[in-house]
Parts: sequence; structure tokens; C-alpha cells
Amino acid sequence: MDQLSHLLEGFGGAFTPMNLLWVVVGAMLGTAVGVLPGLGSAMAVALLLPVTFSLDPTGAFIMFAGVYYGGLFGDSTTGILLNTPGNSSAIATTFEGHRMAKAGRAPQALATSAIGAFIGGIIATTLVVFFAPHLADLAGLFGPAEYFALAVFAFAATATVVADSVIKGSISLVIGLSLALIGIDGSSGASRFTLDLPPLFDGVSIVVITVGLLALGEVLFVASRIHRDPPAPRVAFTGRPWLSRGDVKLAWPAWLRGAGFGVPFGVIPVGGSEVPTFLSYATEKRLDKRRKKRMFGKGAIQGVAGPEAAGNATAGSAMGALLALGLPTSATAAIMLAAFQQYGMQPGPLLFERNSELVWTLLASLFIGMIVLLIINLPFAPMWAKLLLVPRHYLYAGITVFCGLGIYATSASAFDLMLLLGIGLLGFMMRRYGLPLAPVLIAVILGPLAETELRRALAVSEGDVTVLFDSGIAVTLYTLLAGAIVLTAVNRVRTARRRRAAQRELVA
Amino acid sequence: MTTTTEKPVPAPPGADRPSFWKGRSEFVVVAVLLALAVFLTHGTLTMTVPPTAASPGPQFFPWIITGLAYVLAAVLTWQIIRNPSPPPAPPGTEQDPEQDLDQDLDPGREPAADGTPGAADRAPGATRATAAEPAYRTHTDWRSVGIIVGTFLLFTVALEPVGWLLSAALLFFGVAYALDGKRPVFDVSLSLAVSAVVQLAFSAGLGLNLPSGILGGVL
Repeated sequence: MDQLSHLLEGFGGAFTPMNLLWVVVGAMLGTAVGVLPGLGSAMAVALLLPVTFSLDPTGAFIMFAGVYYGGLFGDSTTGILLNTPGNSSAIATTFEGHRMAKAGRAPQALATSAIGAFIGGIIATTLVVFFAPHLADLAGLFGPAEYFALAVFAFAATATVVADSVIKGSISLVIGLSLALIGIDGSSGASRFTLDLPPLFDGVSIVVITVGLLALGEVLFVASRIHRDPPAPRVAFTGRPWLSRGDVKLAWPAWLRGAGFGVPFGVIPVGGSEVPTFLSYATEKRLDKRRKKRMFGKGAIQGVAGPEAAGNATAGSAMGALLALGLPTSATAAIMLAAFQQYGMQPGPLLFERNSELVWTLLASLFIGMIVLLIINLPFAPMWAKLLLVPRHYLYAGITVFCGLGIYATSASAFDLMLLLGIGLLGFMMRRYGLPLAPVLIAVILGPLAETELRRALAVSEGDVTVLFDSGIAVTLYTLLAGAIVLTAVNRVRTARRRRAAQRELVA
Repeated sequence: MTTTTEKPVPAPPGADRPSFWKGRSEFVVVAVLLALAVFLTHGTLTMTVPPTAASPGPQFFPWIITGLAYVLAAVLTWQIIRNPSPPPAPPGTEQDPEQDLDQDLDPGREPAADGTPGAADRAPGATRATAAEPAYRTHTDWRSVGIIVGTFLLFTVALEPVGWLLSAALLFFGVAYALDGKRPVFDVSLSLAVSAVVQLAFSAGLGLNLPSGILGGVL
């Protein structure tokens, strides 16, 4: 029970008045950013990165812990009340959540999602505490070929399974991989695609890419539809967010099942929590069909509980993968990785030895952060929803100013602002034509890893490609991938056929 | 994209009468992808490789991506020619809930592909939404987008010489105006207030220096 004593020490470190203040501030800011439409936890971390610069590393990471989960607690609020999910991880929650809100059960939906997020997060973080050190041992089994296989797995999975069109997903992937190429090549020192501009020698920062694609791109997209789309109807929010015993009875198995889906996905880099939230949603729906009184379509509480627990469980175990393996499995984790590096720390197997105190304090503050979040989200959800009453044009004007601020404060260069605008336009174009954004981020995050490991593997084998398929782990990953792709293809053909049949019926 | 014209930018050729280009504005994506591919080709060819570089050199991976880019551009072209998008179909963004709802109950998303009867129910709603669209000449409100892009450019250029206070206020005002801000006087004061609060919070509270610019002596 080595971990327990470490964790207790961590709590000791976290329970100072100053650190508690940072958790609360982080949780508040994270929830606020998360509640805003279009901005999720990745944005919360990216925009608040400069804010943490003036803190010591421990304080900074404690605040990140609050921001990280805060963004996740907040994003489903918008989805439930306005039918506009704050983040892709909240889409699955939105379906039934908004229906519950329309049926006058908005407080219950918000409570279910807050408790679900709490349960998912607690389960995943507990598992991280006990297994992260073992996960770090696992990293020793991974050589270049295995890491490359893992990256290929992540690329293909995000481009095919997560995206709704394989071609569009792959285009996003290529865009991301190209962005990742810019800069000085680490292993040879060659300058690549920098146009001889010194600011590009270090590559394009992940923060610029995230803020540009997700926030500025969203502002431009909203602007492009300003006179086109009718504004989203707002749902009145009345009543207290208490769950009846019947609600809890329906929700708790869904919470646990959701967490079960979420935990493994945090460790696999497939673009964050989209896949597990949808898996959980589909499962709950299927289970609902067996019941006498079907609730799906009318605002089923399980449809909120499952995905929400899955989303936060993914976020929790993603933190474990980041700390123990140094492997960022989502955009949020990648920005956290950048933050670690800014403080001169390298997440990975050695982190638990070198910065043990900080890691355990961080893990302890994840628990504290979640409790704080439950407190500020459960009774005060109506207050957060008031944020949505800010007129839309001021909201987006503020977001734009914070994009500019966030980027300028991290880099102090006008060049990065230009880059931000360019990437914002790219994000706008991608939204306009339905190109998914998640593959870009995954490609930017894992592209350099994939390239380095591929070249390393081929250099050792002197150009022999078979070395890539030489290990059990790599072959297993490729097999899993092939299986998933075949399954998706079959499913897609089947639904397409069914849809055509349905359309024919409709016409007839 | 950076034009800040008064009226909506003229629609792409043939927006009035159905032509080959109708519903095929997605060729923009092909163009961007091709431009990217050409840029990568040029960059990879002209790359100066240090003589010390090990065998799969710095050009190895870029070639793979370049190849992929050409192939995908070709495939997408073929796809657009075969099925042009139904005129301004709401773009499938992660932030567009209706669309995502459709996707969920529709094909695409693998996890939900359990044959929901909802797919057929929803279809008429979706077509109605698109049928209401053609009242506008372009899918995109280029005026709003143009104003925001223009303001952001101005902000970028002005930030260092003019200072945070004024340029951020300009940015806030520009975006609010583009998104239908109707009260110019109030908006200007709000913009100044927002940028002042940010500057104060960051320089006084967090010790981060934002450029003070021409107002440096006054503040």
C-alpha cells in the first residue's frame, strides 16, 4: 500500500490554504469556460495556461486539476439547457439531456450529469492512483515499433471510427500531420517547412493550434451563420436539482457502466472521450429497449448518466496515461504536457521518481477538485446557466479577446497571433465543410512521436519494414485496428441500406 | 477571405442558376489540400539535409504525408463530382447539435448504428431546415466573417505599437459589431472596460506584461 501513503502525503501537500484556493479558482474558471458554448476543457486549459505562469509548479498544477475537470463538468450544462454541447465529449449527453430539459426536468438532468461526472472521475482517478506506477512499468515493454503501432492505431481510429466520413477524417489527419512537420527536425537538425522564418523553428505550438481551431474557428463559424440560423430556444430553468429515489435507481447502474466504458479509453489515444461517451449512450439505449416502459426519446435519465460518467472517467484515466506514460491521449492532455514541459518536467515513467511530491499532490488535488466541483455544480447549476444569458455578441467578443490574450501572453509574439488567425480560418473552413477537428489535434500531438519512432525502428533494422510487425504488441494493435475498421464498414453499409429502405417507405 | 466589403460578397459563379458549381463549393477543401500538397512537395524537394542525417532522413515522413494529401485530394474531387452537397447543407460540426443529433440517429457514428427508427422520423425535419435556406445568396455571411478577420488582423498589427488597451478594445468592439451589436456607444465603453480589466488583472494581479503602447506614459 505504498500508493496510499504517497497519496496521503499528497493530500498533506494539497491541503494548504493557498493550494485549496487554487483548486477552487481553477474549478470555477474551468466550469465557466466549459459552460460557454463551443468551449470545452481543452480550451479552458489552453486559455488559462498563461494565468498559471506566475504560480509555482505545484500551485499551477493544482489549479490545472480544477480547470481540467471543471471544463468537463461545465460542458454538459450548455448541452442540456441549449442543446449546444460545449464540447464533443458532451454530445452524447445532450440528446437525452435536452429532452429531459424540455420535459421540465432540467434540474434533474443537470444533477444527474454532475453526479455522473463526479462518479466517473472518482473511479478513474482512484484507478490511476493504484495502477499508474504499474502503467509506468508497462512503458518499458514499448519499443519504437510498438509506439509507432500505437500512433497508427490512434490515427486510424480517430479518422475512421470517430469521424463520420473516412475521407474527411483522413483529410483532417493529413492537415494535422503537416502542421506537426513544421519546425526543426529533432533527429537530423534539418529545418523543415519553416520558410526560413525563425518563429517557426520551434514548430507551431499546440496551444496556438487548439485555440485557433476550437475557439477562433468557432467564433468565425458562428459569425458566418449569424443571419442564417434561428437562435437556439432557451429552456426555462425551475425547481431544485434533487433526484428522486426512482431516478437514482435508474441512474446508478448507468453511472457505473459509463465509468466502465470510459476508463480503458483514457489510456488509448483515440481522440478523447467521443468514442466511450457514444458507446455508453448506445448501450443505455439498447438496454432501454428491453424495458416495458421505454424512456429513450422522452428524456431518459440513463442517457445522461452513462455518457457523462464515461466522459469524465476517460479524462481521469487520460491523466494517468499522461503522468505515467508521457502519452497525451487527448487535446487537453497534450496541452497539460506542454505545461509540464514549460516547467522543465517530462511526464513519463521517470516522473514518479523525479517529481514524486508534485505528482502525488496533483493526484490528491484531482480528488479535491472533483469534490469542489460537485459542490459548485450541484446546487449552483442554475447560477452557471445564467452565464448563457450574456448576449451572444458580447460572449463571442469576449472569447475572441481571450484567444488573443492567451496566445500573446504565452508567446509574446505578434507572429503567433497571425498564425492563430490562419488556423482559425482553417478551423472555420473545416466546420463549414464538416471536416472533423479531433483528428487534427491527435495528428499534431502524436505526429512527431510516430515519425521519430518509425525512423528509429527503420534505422535499427536498416530499412527492413518487417521490423514493424515483429512484436506481439504491435501485431495485436494492428489486428484490433483492422477488426474495428471492418466492423465500422459493415455497420455503415448496413445502416445506409436500412436508411435507403426507410426513405423508399417514406416516399411510397 | 480578408475582404471587408459592405454588401454580402457576390455569390460564387452561378449561385442563381444551377450550374456545375452549385452545391460544389467544397472544392475549396480540395484546393486547400492541393495547395498543401504542393507546398509539402516543394518544401521536401528543396530541404537542406545535413550530411550527418541517419538513413530514413528528414524527408522520409514528409513524402508519405505528401502522397496521402494528393490521393485524398483526388478521392474528394471524385466524391464531390459524384454527389454534390444538397444546397447549403448545415455543416457537420461538433458544435452543431441538430446535425450531430442527425448523425447519431443516422448512419455515420458507429456506436449508435443500431437501426434507430428515429432516422426516418427525423429526415423530413432535416430537409425542411435546408429548404428554408436558399433565401440567402451565400451559405456563409461573408460580411460578418470579413469584419472579424479584418479586426483580428488590425489587432495583431496594432497590439505592439498601440498597446493592449486600445487594440483589445477594438477587437472586442469589432467582433460584437460583426455579430449584430446594436448599441455602438455602450459597446465602445464596454470594450474599453473589458480590455482595461484584463490589463489590470494581468499586470497588477499576475505580473504579466501586456504591451502598454502609446498610452505607456499616461498609465
